[in-house]
Amino acid sequence: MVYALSLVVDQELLALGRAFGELRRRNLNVSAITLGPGAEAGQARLTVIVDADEGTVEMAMRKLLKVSGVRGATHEPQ
Amino acid sequence: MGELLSGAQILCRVLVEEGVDTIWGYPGGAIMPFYHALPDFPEIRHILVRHEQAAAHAADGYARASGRIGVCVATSGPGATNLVTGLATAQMDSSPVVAITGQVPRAMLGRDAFQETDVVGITLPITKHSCLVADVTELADRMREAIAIAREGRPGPVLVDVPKDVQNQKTEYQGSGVGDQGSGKPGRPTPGPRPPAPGLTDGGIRRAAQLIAAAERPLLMVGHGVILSGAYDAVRQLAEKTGMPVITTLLGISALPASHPLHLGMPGMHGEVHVNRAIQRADVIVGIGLRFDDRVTGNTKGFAPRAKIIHVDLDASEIGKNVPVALALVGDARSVTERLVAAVAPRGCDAWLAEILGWARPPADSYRGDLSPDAIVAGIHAAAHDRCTIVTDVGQHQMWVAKLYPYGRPNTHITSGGLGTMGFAVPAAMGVKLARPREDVWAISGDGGFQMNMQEIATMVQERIPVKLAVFNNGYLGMVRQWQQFFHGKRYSATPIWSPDYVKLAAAYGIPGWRVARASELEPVLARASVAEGPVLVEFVIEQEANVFPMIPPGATLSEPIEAEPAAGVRD
Ligand SMILES: Cc1ncc(C[n+]2csc(CCOP(=O)(O)OP(=O)(O)O)c2C)c(N)n1
Ligand SMILES: [Mg+2]
Repeated sequence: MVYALSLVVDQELLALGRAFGELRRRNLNVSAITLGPGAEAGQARLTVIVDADEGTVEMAMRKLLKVSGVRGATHEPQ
Repeated sequence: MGELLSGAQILCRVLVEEGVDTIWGYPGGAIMPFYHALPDFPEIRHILVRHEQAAAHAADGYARASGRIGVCVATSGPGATNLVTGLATAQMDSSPVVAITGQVPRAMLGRDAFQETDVVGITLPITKHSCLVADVTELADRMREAIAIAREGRPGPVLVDVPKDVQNQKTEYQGSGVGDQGSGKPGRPTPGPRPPAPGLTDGGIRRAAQLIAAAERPLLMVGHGVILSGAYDAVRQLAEKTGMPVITTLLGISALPASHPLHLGMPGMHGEVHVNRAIQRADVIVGIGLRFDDRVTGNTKGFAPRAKIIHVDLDASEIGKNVPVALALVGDARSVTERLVAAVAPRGCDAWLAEILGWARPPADSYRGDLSPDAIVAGIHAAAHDRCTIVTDVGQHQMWVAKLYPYGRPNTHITSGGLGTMGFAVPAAMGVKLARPREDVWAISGDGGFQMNMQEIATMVQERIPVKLAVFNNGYLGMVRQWQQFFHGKRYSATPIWSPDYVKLAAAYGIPGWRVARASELEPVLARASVAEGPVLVEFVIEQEANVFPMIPPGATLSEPIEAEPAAGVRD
């Protein structure tokens, strides 16, 4: 199943690195990435398209919410 | 106007303001400004270790025993990489360790400069938070944030990497309380608001109380979260009000006194048969502050097949991670358990407890030698009069101590659970000892793990840290040898291990040392070891091929234990 993960992260490479680290650990299959400015200053919106089962995605989302520098995370099936 | 301080002085000042009085470290080029500033802060006692790994484990041990943060310091490059195992250990066991590392000057970053390593990158997946501070004006706030992150919620390790030139730069220092949490500087992670914990409603508590009331065979399983949040009294009250028997995971040991009539013991790979069978028969399991680790569950497909699981955890990402959960109560173990105590109706589980205890059998009498692990553990307990914290290493001795030591007081058993780090006990015990100066602290290691960090005896001598060292010498990497015996056709590949003469080793460090090879020698030696003022070393020469039973083979469920020699149920 293809999901769009939508993250709000602090606008710094380290926060992005941590967020990607959580995806990489799970060996998620990423097919597209977009990064743009977030609604608030100092924040960025990161969208990642992954192909994975629902359980894996939900677990990843919960872990992502714990990552320091990640301010919000939602996911939607595509 | 604030004072003008260097980055190095700011690091020290923040530590003092945060109440840190003990740090563990090792100097080197990139952290020299910090060490230059340190003597001006007599509030901070610095312990020079013999290897940075030991600094991280000691800080971890200090944190676990004190409930405060543990701080370690290292230089860039090899100093920083030597911290890695200690940080990973702290991460897996939710321990608030703060690491400060020196880094090459900013102008050298990215040029493969002498002793440059990307330690923030290396530690990204094994810390709760890490950062490089490139601007001295941010240093104080970054340090405070890191410390807050280490402590808040589910604790964990953090790392702050500070380039040498940033340590030397001066800036105006604003004391804490003037922190600019709200200054809105972009790009700086702050411990921002976390999403509200789902699942902890009055309805959830009521539903849990109903499930417990309706259960015929309920169990309480408690883990490290109970220790971290100090939920012992609440857990005991919940158990006593409902009659639920209590299982303690490896890191939950000592949350309930072993002498308590409802105490069952440790579950999982080396859990007693009746404990694991209780799990397999239970219809409701209330799990508090544990993550249902694979060493606890065995094959999850067959774990607790009849049980509805109520999972209490501070960390929402733990819910449903390893086992399916019927009801999640996300919150601090202590406050949730207290609410459960208030909500549950008094009941008893006498028949169920009697049924479980009926499955218990006397330990298989397979020990061939005279000096059994049981006798050693009983001897240490008798000599320590329960005024004692036990720190164990990893291997067979760890399992024997976990199963046999009758822990009486909360948080008196400290071990590396999640990462299973050999070499943990000796340095961690130094941290425990400084956190609990009036208690005996025993570091119990195998001959393998002891040799991984025995250099720290020198630290104990130089810094007068009177840890009592015990070595279970079986001449083997025993736990691996046991697996080879059962699952690899007794091919003892790379597991026989030679040891130095430990009595002479102790003498070389100038501390008393004894070798105990017979049960009759236990009492006199342990009596002398107990009253000694400084560090001591006691070697216990035990049977070489003794095994830890029962044992759940890898991939098997809790219903399939190997209970004794010979290898009746060889699989794999
Ligand atoms: C750093 C590290 N390396 C390897 C292992 C794998 N391991 C687990 S138990 C064990 C044997 C430990 O031997 P010893 O310290 O003598 O204790 P014993 O099992 O004999 O009591 C080994 C090698 C580990 N847990 N940690
Ligand atoms: Mg051994």
